[in-house]
Amino acid sequence: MNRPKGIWLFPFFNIMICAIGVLLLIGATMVGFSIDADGIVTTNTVLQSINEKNASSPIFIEWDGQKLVTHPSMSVLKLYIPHFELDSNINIDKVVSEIGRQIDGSYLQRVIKFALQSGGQRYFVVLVRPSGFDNFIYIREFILKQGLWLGYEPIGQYWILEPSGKACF
Amino acid sequence: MFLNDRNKNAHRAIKSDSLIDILVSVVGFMIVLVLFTVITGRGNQIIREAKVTILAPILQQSNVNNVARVLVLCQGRRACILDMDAIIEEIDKTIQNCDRIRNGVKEFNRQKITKFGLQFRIKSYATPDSLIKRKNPRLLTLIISSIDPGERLKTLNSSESHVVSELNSDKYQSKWVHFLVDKQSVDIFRLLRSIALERGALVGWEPVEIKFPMEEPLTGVEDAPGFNLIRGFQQTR
Repeated sequence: MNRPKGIWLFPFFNIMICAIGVLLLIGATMVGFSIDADGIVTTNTVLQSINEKNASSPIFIEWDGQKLVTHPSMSVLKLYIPHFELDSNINIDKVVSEIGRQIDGSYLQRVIKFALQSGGQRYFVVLVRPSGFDNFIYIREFILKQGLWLGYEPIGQYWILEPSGKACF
Repeated sequence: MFLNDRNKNAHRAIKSDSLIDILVSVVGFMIVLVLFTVITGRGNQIIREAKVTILAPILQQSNVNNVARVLVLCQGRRACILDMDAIIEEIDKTIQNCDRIRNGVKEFNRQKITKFGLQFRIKSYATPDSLIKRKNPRLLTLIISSIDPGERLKTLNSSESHVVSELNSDKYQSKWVHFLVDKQSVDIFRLLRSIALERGALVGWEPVEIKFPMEEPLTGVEDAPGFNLIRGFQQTR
């Protein structure tokens, strides 16, 4: 009986190379997807007011969905915003009053009072990070309810903002 | 003795050096490829010490009803224009040319109007009152479906972009251009807004994710999710 002389390993290596290749391809694809277009940008952003018609100066606040950062003092206020479907003004009012309760006694509340007392010389600009898009509506409504002028701008998720201007206090 | 000879023969037959060479080269090449992808990906996206000026706009809620408004949807890293006024005008015209509202709705739906990848059709409901009084007033709802998700950033930066050429046209000079922006489309929004501002348009934006098909009751009040959050345009100059 003719028995094969030796072991032919080529198919085994072939399969192994294919398997490793597929694994590497999956890895490379995952790495590619994990690099979000906005994910690794570390732009050092200068906050600058461009508002030719308006003489009042802005107070910048940053919103990332969980905390409000007041610039340039970088005072952080963590907020818990309950999730409601945005189907009526009743829900918005409920959340707005909850935000008011959480802000009560904070540095931000003092800044709001300061802006209100300035007689329209100061207004708020909220810089919204993508993670804060979902519940920004409540922050907007809260500030408008205070009777303040407001602007809002989207910024990159990982942008580093360079504090500019003088703190209110 | 015999077994020993056979093992020797078998051992002699396995010559896998070249295969291992190939294997190591392929693996090495793939590792280099992955590293290259990661490094170039990061290199393109890390911008250190770049100075980005942020506009400090003020929300204008007064007299927004007097300004014609166009929506620009920046959704899923793509952009398209939704001119509701033009569509409603089209609906009015079609319905007025027909003897009955129901026929007007049928005629409008037959036309399959598509603009910037969005297709429009109307649903017509009889209101309960009309059933009782037999007068047949209809409640109309505009249904907007997305056929083409819109233009990518690459297209918007090229001369082929319909969205950019539309925004560059004179008709947007005094119009209110309002952007509905989702989490992924901030860069697209910034690009298109600069174009709209250059044309002298009044610009506003809202962080809103639109889900298609979208239903908008044609009652004069904007009720569709996203639409009802629009406050006004933001004055930047």
